[in-house]
Amino acid sequence: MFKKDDKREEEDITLDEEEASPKDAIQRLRGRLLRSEEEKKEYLDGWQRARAEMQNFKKDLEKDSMRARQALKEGLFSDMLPVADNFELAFRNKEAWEKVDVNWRNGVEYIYKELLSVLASHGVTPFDDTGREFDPARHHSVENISVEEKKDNGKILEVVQKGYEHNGKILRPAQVKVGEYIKG
Amino acid sequence: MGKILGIDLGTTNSAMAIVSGGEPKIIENTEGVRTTPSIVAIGKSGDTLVGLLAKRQAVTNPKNTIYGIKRLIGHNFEDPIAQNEKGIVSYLIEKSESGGVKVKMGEKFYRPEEVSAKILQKLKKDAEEKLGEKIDEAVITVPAYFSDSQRQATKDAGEIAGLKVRRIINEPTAAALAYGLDKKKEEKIVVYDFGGGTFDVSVLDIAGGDGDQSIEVKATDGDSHMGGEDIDQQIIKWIGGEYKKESGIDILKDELALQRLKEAAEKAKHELSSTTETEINIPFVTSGADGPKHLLMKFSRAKLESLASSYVEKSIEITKRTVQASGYTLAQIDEIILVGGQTRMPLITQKVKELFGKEPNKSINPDEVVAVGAAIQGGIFQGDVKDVLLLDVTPLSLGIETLGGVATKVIERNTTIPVSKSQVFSTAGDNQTSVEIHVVQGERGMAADNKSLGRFILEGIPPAPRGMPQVEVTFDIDANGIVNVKAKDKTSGKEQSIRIEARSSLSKEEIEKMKKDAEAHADEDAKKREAVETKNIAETLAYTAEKALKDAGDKVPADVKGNVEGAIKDARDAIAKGDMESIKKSTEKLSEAMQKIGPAMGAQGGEQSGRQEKKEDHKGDTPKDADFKSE
Repeated sequence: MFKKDDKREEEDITLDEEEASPKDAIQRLRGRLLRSEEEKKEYLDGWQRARAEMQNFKKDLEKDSMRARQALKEGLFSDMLPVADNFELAFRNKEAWEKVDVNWRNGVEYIYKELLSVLASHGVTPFDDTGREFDPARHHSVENISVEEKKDNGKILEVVQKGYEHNGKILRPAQVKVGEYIKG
Repeated sequence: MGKILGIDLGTTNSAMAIVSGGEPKIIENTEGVRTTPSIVAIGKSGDTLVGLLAKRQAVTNPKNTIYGIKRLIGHNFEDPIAQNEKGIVSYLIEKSESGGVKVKMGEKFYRPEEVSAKILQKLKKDAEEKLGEKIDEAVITVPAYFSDSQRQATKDAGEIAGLKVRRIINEPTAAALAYGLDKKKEEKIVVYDFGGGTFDVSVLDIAGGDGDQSIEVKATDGDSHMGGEDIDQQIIKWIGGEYKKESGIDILKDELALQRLKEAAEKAKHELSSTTETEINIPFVTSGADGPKHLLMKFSRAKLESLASSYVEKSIEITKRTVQASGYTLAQIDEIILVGGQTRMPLITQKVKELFGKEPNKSINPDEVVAVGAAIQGGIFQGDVKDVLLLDVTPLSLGIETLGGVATKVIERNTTIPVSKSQVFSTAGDNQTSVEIHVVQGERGMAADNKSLGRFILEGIPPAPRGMPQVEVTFDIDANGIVNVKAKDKTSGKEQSIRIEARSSLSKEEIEKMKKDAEAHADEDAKKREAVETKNIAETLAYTAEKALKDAGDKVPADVKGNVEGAIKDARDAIAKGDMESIKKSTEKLSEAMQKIGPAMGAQGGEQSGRQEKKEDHKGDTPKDADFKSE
């Protein structure tokens, strides 16, 4: 059932053979000692490596499980962001929204605020960045808008969808329209 | 030697993996994602962007954003493929001085291998950051149809990125390596790869075996412009069309609405891999003269399948054609491997299964299987799997027989050896001075159904009530599979052991048979075991109750005592009859009756109650470590 080491034991070296001189025997023993020492080195090295690997594996596992917990949280937050977006979209058409009964309007706006404050309490905050330089680390461009002035080239002119960060890490880039200055 | 990175350098996305501790592992990029878009750009501020960041600015910087460079690598400018790409892509493609292709990004022209090198460089850097060590070598995969010049160019890309490319391997070969199919002899494998933007199918022939095998690509075919993204487009078109019918509004013309629709379509497609119907819900998708408009639509798997069917059918046709070109028949194919995210679609699995009459392999993440295979190839070069360090596993569980003939496992099967594990057991009878250790091997619940490896007796246990002595049983399996079982009485320090040279005992076939037997008898065994355990619990409880009464003496009122004694008798009668239901019922009753001992004694003598109640806590406890059967 189990694999067995097939290495055969080396035969013992004895001096009882007449033709074998002590010198030969010593030489053979020396050879064997040398091989043994090499083997010992190899095994010790392998053993130490295995132990080190185990230690490192444990550390990695700890890091991985922390990362997994973080990823799980971030995944949940990311899935909630469209809900926040939809509130924004509901409020975007000011004229239509103002027509809604003020008590209902306030109520719904409070729910949105509550959602944002729950996210904020977990370190998730929105960012807008209108007027800032486009930066692919924070923004996702959706459209170029031609601009008259050179200084507006590469500037964010409109945020189509807010971005969110979680404790300084970008959870979702903001979707933005970027100014483009065409020479001449 | 440093680690060798396995890289799946894809047309749309790339992935990387490494073998660490003998196991392949996908490495995330610095953005924390397991795949990296194969996109390179020179941003408007002049900096080079690779991967996700390049993708994020692609819409507004199309001329300086290079994607799909894999379609151009190693080609001459005059090649029809290069000419075709020229008409599709948003960046400039020109003829290089050597007649090859060059692409423009920023103010400069780059050879395709230089662009690929930037992707590889990012992967290398991200891997180094993640692993905390330098990476100098890599195995990179390419499609099976790649020509020598395409392979050479890919290798050059690696060298430009500062990687010594140990080998360029075929993507389907990598997939076969990931599934360990290279170890089989004489197999014919089809690798069906339906990715985001490309479809490839290959027929592999594994010949040889025993480490001397070769994997030969017998035929390969595909469509370099068909993939999961086409299916997404169909979904978007369909939703847009339905919505237009319903509301008269064309949301596909609205950039933001289209973006939200794209996300919803992709999400719905993923969901329909595991459910048969989903809902597409996009509130405030647009607004009309009469206020805001919402999109709410049911989307079924059947509808998705009808939208995708032309692509799937086409892929199946190509697959048939490829197998035919390989000279084999469909029936001759031994294994099918699914690669690429789109193969998660149940329709594809079903069609492939229908075609070959076999279940395809899909247990490894299809987005990662190629990178995993590349890493395994790297692992072979790394040579960290040395012969002396080859670790074996116990093929079957090892344990001892405990009270009622139950096989109690000490070392579970598939445990890597050498290993040593201990468990503490106790006696089943009062004043039991010896225990028999019966070592058994196998997966069945009852000891008698398993293979007996040997038995020995540990004597000299000081007399004590049942359950009190602590006998530690240690199983030790050395690297050669030799099992040493030792039993030690913790009080007296007496010990006894047995050495089992198990190598001669079971053949591979017998092991397989034993595993199958265990599976087949799983329900029956569980019932038998439960029966024994129910009996054991009842017996233990009856014993505990008896002992409690004896210890308490006349402190227990006669009526309580009578009740408990009656309940003990009922329980013992039930055990003798062997009817499970009545054993359970009488055990419950006994447990209830016993609970009255404590309070009754408390009422009689206050300061003693603490001790008694503590004893009472054990009512109905299952002995954690199964008792040995008494001899």
